[in-house]
Amino acid sequence: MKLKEDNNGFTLIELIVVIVIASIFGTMMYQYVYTSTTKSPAPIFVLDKSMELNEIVENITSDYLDQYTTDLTGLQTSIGTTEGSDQNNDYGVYKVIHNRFIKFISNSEQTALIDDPEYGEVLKVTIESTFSGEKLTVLYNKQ
Amino acid sequence: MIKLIFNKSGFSLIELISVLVISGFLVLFGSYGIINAVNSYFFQKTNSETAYKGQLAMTRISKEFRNLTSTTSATATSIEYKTYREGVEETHKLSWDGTAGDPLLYDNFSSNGNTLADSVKNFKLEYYDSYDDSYPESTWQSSTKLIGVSLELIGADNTSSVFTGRIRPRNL
Repeated sequence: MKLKEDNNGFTLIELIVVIVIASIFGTMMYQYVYTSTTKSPAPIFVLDKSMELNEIVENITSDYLDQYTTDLTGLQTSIGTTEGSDQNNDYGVYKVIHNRFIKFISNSEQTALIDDPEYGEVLKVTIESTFSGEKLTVLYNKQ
Repeated sequence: MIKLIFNKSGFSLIELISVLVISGFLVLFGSYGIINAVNSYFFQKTNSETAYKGQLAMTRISKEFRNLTSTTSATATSIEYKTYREGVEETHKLSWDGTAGDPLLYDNFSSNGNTLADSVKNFKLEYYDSYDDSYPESTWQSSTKLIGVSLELIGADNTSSVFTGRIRPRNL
């Protein structure tokens, strides 16, 4: 009974030690759990957007094979001529990064100007997914 | 301070009991947190496995369809097609039996197919005449130019992940 009436509580030092240890443990758990849970849907999201981008390229390729194998300027126009512009058309939603005719001079790629004989021969198209920022480049040649 | 730290009077029964009760609660709630963390770890693991599985299957399907030269039979869940490999014409088949949970099979000619993806919830093929065709057919037409693929896999906790793609066969 004497012990029961002992009024010694925790000391300040004990309390501080417990709080410090608990907070260190809490921070460790948070660090460990946070990124893995909040980022867990990322792979599926990225994959989804990546396949969407592929679908857009298949659409463009299909249109090229059906209508534009001899008229690359027409393909260039329907993709969206302004480089850097956002597009939302029958192909899909994307951003045009490159949409220009190119020529190869000693194995290096250069933009073909309108006066060049190579103009209209090889079209370089790079499109970017508006959602994930992934880029895809395709070359189309005149047949 | 020093006197309190080196107090030698021992713990009372009440103190011990309350410490046990409090630590019991702490362990209880702490273990809930840990169980959740472990569960979410396995959830993510299954999720990324599903994503990888879907990606692998879709890549293979794209490659197959891109090179097909003609089809012998093509419906919404099954397609049999011809393709050239090293100059030799081969017939291949991609089929799913329509029951959720069953695998998507490759070359299942006499029930000895290879599994391309297991735990398939839905697999659907659509046949487009052009890229802007709003009404795709469910069987192959002579005018078909594009094949649309939709693959739904059962992932963690019975959630499903849908993978869609569209392939233009280059050698029709």
